[in-house]
Amino acid sequence: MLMKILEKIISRMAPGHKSQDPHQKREPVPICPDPRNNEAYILKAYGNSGDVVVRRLKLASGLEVLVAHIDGLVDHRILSANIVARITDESDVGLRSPGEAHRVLKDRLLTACQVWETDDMTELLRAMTWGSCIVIIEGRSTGLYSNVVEHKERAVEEPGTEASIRGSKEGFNENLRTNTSLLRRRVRDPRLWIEERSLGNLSRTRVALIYIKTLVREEVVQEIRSRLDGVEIDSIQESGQLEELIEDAPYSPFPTVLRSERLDRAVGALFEGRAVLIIDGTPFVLLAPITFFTFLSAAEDYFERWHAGTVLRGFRLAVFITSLILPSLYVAITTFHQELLPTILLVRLAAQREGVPFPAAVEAVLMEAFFEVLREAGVRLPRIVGPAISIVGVLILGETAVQAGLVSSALIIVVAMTAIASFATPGFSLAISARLLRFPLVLLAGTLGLFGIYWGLFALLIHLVSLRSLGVPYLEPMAPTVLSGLKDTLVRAPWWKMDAQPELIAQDEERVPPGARPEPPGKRPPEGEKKT
Amino acid sequence: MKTGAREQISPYQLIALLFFVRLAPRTLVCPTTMTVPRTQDLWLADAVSAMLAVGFVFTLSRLGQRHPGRSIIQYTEDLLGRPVGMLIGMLLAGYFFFVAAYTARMLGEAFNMSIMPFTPNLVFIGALTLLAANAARSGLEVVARTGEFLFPLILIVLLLLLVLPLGQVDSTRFLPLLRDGLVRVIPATSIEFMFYLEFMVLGLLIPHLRAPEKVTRFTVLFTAANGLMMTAMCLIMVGVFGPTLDALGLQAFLLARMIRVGEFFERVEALLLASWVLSTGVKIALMIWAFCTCLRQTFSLHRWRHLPYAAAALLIACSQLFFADVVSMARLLAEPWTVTSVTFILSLTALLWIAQLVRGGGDTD
Repeated sequence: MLMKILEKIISRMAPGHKSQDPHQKREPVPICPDPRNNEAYILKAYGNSGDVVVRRLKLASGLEVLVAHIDGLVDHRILSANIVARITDESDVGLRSPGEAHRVLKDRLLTACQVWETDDMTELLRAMTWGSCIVIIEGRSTGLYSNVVEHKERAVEEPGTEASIRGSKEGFNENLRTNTSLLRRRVRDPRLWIEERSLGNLSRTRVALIYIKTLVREEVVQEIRSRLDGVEIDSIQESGQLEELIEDAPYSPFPTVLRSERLDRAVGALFEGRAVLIIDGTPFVLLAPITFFTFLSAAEDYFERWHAGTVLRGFRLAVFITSLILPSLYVAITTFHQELLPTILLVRLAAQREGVPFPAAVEAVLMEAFFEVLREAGVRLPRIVGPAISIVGVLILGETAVQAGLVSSALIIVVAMTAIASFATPGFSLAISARLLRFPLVLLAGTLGLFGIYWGLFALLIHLVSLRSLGVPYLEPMAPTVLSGLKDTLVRAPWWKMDAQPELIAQDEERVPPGARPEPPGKRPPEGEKKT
Repeated sequence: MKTGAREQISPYQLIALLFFVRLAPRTLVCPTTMTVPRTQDLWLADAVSAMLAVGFVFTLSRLGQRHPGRSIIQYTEDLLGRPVGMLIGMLLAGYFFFVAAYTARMLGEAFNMSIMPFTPNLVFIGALTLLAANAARSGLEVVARTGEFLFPLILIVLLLLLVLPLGQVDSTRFLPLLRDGLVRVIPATSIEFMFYLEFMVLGLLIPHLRAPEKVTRFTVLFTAANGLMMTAMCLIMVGVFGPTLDALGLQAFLLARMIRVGEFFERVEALLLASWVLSTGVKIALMIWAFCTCLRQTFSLHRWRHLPYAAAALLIACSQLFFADVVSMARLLAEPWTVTSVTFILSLTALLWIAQLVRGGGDTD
């Protein structure tokens, strides 16, 4: 209900939005047989930009060939060896007619990887922005373009935001093709399908939808395709933008798409029947469909032994709950339910809070807000002054605030524990949700005590059970209960027990055959006798 | 409110919902001990009422099975005609509304009596009822999934309440057994049975069940198990509190406060408070959904989008108007409401069963 009202308000704030059609179909622009006109057109289209290079070369027969590209986007060695040299070295061929020259150049001479032909000047101009070199022969109303793009990119490095002790150190980088090749190297099977398209009317950002054909559910792929088709925006610079445009519940504080820059995480998702979206220009890929519990798992859960994976997941759930409700519990207990505390602790807390001028709720909100400011400043500050400000902020201000009697030292401990807990949540976007939801919970606790917290948690639960990620219930396999899925939720079952893909996400494919449990030679069944 | 035919629930979700229906009156304010003297034999009343409930649930499930895809209102119309069907639909809507109203009031009173005596109970009732209405508006699937998620967690709390106070149970407190004869157990049995009759909501849930052919087996087994659990809880309470149980309105809360394992595991009442809010929230949501479904089916409503919120507003007001205080609520539930609801629900079930026999020619299975 609230969401609908919000939606109406937002739509009313932008009344003209719907009437504008950003996908206005452009009429094709014909290619002029005169190279000079084409040169003028190209230069005008790019506003005489300094990086646009247009050259008119001559074949031995005297026919002019217009060659154009954007400097900085193309590989000059390929351009010189495979295109310019080929055109200028054709002195012995004697290509007199434009048609013959065009055919020969296209079929035999231009030795770059791929050559395309078009009669639309707009397409040629767009190809130039992708790092293509265009070739137009005098007298022809069609042009050729060939991909000679130079990939200047960051090396494949360990992801900065998702470190792990065990597992691959490879992370995605900003280049889409590098990223798809990384996936290809991990899934050496033709069933890994990659669908590419451009999004953004101005940015024309390449987006790749990747999945394993036999594992992903067809309806999931169809749904992602239709959502991508519905994207209307001028530019896409980061996967977060696309995430907001395709997610199931745009007003929810909880993410329904997982972002990651870890290669092994993306590969793992593919093997679980999920789809991966790679966006050119960002190392963060999107994984969908996902569930709430996906955010509590880390890549190394699957690489460490299953006992460790299971225990760590339990800890992570605990720290997520801690990061969500610890300040509100403090407020509720100190304000309303002192009887829940052991007497010694109660006396100490009361002594600490004596002289604090604010109610516990205000104190907690102020400290939490202060910590958020510190965290934000820590991200923005130059690295050299960062530690100094942290010392000033955390140690000096925190200590002084307690000494001045503005806040109690117990609250400082609570805020610090909450902060550490929020950093321990593997899904960063889920940790952000907890950060946001902490404030209303503190206010509820300050108003209604434990009832307020339980009420808030109940509201969150109702919201969570109504969420879906591409049709998959967000709390699956807990609600709805899917017994086979419980093997990889809060518990990480041994690999030899992971016999099937997630039931509601992937197609029904066997993952590990029955009888995969390792056994010593004495207990092993005889050869040829299959265990069940 | 989403109440389309596509909404389906699993047998597990059904059981979870029924669990919450019965749990609220057992762990919140208990009208039985507040109105019936000498409740030392309360556990016996619980056991007998559970056995009666098994019979009731069996009958209701079989009726539902014989009318696949039809709710109790719809097959009442089929069997008894449209006017009677409409009348029954309205009466059932009123029944579910009243159940939601006293459940909400029970929660408000429980919070007042336990930890927050100065906060008006309207605050607790209003907040939770609006949230429950929001869940009901999202549809049965959302309510069922909420219940399903909470079911194991609340079951753990209940098991803690059952197991941890065992050390404080004194067997002499059960004695003398049936001091005033079996007849004195009847009022308590009626009140406890009245709460079991809230399972009437099954009549609306069965058409949404994913495997309706299994409904009788599941519901009968669940009712029996639930009866055992509730009886065990009564036994523990009698064993711990003995004759003083008569004076206690919040036995479950007091029981939780007494739990202390070693020097580290105590304050279990905080968990019980959580189970109050969550389980009562699910129950009220289910009852609001049932109320709206009754009205929708009775009057063939096509637009019912805001009905749960209207129902919630009315419910909040009625939970204040129907009961002056906790004692009057207990008296109202123990006497007139027990008689009325037991008569109405049992008569309706019997009438439908007879009509089924007459028109359907007996057991079709």
